[in-house]
Amino acid sequence: MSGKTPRRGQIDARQVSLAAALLVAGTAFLTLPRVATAPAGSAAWLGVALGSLLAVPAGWLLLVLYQRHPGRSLVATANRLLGPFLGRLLGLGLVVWSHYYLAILVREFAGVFLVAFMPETPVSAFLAVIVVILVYGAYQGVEAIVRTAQIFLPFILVSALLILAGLLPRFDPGHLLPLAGEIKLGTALAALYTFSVFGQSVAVTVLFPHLPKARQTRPALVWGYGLAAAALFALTAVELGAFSAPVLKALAFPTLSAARLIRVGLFFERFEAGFMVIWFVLSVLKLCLFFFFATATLAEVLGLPDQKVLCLPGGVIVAFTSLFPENFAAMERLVLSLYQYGALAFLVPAGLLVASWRLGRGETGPAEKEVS
Amino acid sequence: MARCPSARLGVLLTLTAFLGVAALTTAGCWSRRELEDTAYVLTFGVDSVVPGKTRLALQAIIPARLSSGGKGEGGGKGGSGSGETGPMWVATAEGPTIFAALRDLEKRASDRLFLAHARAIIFSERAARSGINPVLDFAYRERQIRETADLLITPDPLDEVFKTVPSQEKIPALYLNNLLEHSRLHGTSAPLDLLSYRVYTNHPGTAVAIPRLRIYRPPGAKPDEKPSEFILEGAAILKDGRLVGQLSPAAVPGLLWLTKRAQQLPITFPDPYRPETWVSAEIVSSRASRTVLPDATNPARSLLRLEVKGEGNLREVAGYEGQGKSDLQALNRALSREVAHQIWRTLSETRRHRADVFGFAEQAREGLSPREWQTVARHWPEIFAAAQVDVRVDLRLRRQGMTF
Repeated sequence: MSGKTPRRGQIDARQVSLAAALLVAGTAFLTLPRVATAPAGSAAWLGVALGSLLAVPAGWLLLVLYQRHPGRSLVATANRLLGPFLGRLLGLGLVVWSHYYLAILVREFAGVFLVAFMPETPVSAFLAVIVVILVYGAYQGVEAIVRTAQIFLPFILVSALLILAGLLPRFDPGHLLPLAGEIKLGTALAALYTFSVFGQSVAVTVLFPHLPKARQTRPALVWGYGLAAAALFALTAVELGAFSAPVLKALAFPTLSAARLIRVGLFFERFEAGFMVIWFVLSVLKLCLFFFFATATLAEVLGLPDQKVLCLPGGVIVAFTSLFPENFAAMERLVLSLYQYGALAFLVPAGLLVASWRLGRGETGPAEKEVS
Repeated sequence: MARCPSARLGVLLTLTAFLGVAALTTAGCWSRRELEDTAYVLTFGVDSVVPGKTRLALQAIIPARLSSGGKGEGGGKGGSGSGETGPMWVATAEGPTIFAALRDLEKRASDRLFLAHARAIIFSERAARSGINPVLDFAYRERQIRETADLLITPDPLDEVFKTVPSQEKIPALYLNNLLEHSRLHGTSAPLDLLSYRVYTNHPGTAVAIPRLRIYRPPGAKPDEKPSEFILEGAAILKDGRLVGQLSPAAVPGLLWLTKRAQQLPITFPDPYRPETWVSAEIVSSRASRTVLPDATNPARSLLRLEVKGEGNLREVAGYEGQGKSDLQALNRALSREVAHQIWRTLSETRRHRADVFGFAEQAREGLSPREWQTVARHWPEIFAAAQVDVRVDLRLRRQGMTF
């Protein structure tokens, strides 16, 4: 089985590239500058750049695999290559992986609001609001999510540019020196953490079958990765220049701290409330995409016609598991685990690609046809 | 075409759910803060820090009193260290930590304290001598406190500072804020905000200079006359968070030159042709480049070089008797000499304390490998104090005002 055949032509390449950028940077923009600076010090920006470069061959794996098996999701490809049992097992692994991510990211995002804006509000209230949106978004399907993202794209870009411009008066290029950083191993770790952030883009494969043509995946992924890498690199470099490495690695939410510094003249400040509205949309859309990936993958594993019936139970599981971290420190340890091991997600397409080559079961043809 | 009943039911349920969610979410939120129940802390400070006992003072505005209150009588109504100054509430409290002291204050406060509008954090010299780093952890951690809040050091008791009712502004903290903004614009002091302090204190070898604020008493004022003005004068030098010395008011322009912040700086210098008279100029643009060449093995062979270039306007020539081009060139030279002298004076005052408040250490770190920097960092105070100094200033006066 391969679940319901996605409606091809539902979304275009630009929307997929936006989805890829969201999946990579949609929540990482809040914490990656700190996480990368902790080991790499003043060379964190270099680590982010190197990590983004590492993502290029990993993204290539996704593209080559899809072009060998056009029109198929990861589970459908695994079913074809490995058989239904192993295919389903792999699918279940992906579902567990995505739920692990979702639980941590949802809790982390709720933590931003809790710590920085509304400390007296119970965390369960934030979790409930976020999960309700996730369930609704995933139920509506991929088209609704990416079209909403498209509507908010200008606001997201403007907010990113405002942060970068707002930090420039405090930017000290000396904080980015020396080039090699304090510890060279630290720079490598920062690169690994950034690479791990790109690991989340494996979820974008769920959108590929919705594209009219298989070859459109390449520009979509290139633009998506490029946009995410540029945003993460610029944020890390500018925040490092403004805060310096010792301060940046001590900030819980450096991008939020950056927004708090923005001031126009003597009359216009406290921009962060406006930013939070945009960031809320940005992060929730990323989480919606991830949740859609989780439910659609599980639907395929279970042989259901679509993901809709799984949205509510999936949402309940995410809400429940996101309550597991006992405190902020425990949550931060889990967040760090995403940065440490996130890149392992690329092993799935890599393994499938190796299997595809070994078994010689590539396929082309109908998927290349135009959708009328 | 008529809709089937189940579709109508779906629409009805969706609408009901939407209205229910809207009713719940638009009525307010858990963390709401009512205006009339909030005391807006505009400035706060620490008067003394001894282990286990931190004395906090704050000045808050009570919005409900703002409409009815005038400038107030000032002084210390109320007991146990609290007082009333018009719409302001001035209070002090003690506790093992700032947070504990704040909570202690809230036992006496009718409104909830809100720190998000605090523009300045003031430390008494007594507190600064004990060290301000431990108490600043509260400011770094507290979400309401902005990283842009200015830091100040005062030689006066903090509650006296907060009870001083300014004659020029209804709200004392706004007066203080305006003083700081004007000093930023006119280069009369070197303000330092919380984030900059945090950044500089994390640079090994770097000390910080925080503006000194004191209550201004005009010469000849009677002892019982209530002061109504503040003045920003000089700067306090802190090393590792502890007050170690002061920069004289005359050394502040040099601090601005050395930290590349000299904008709209007023400079008064002797007229080269009439030494008994004075000339005033205002710097309108300047750029400074610094070179640091440390030598850890022989600190005296290290070099600190500052090159300043810039432009200014002639604002006044006391005893004016007609000005020509040659005079202007002579004035340029005199102006450059005066600025070099300012820089030397500031360096001399800070080198006496071995306190690099200019970030030369950080600049040295940027140019060295981490291993080289480790060696230099260990000897930085000696290097800073003994290094050769090369100051080169080239300032030009461009405009002379409405007369030649």
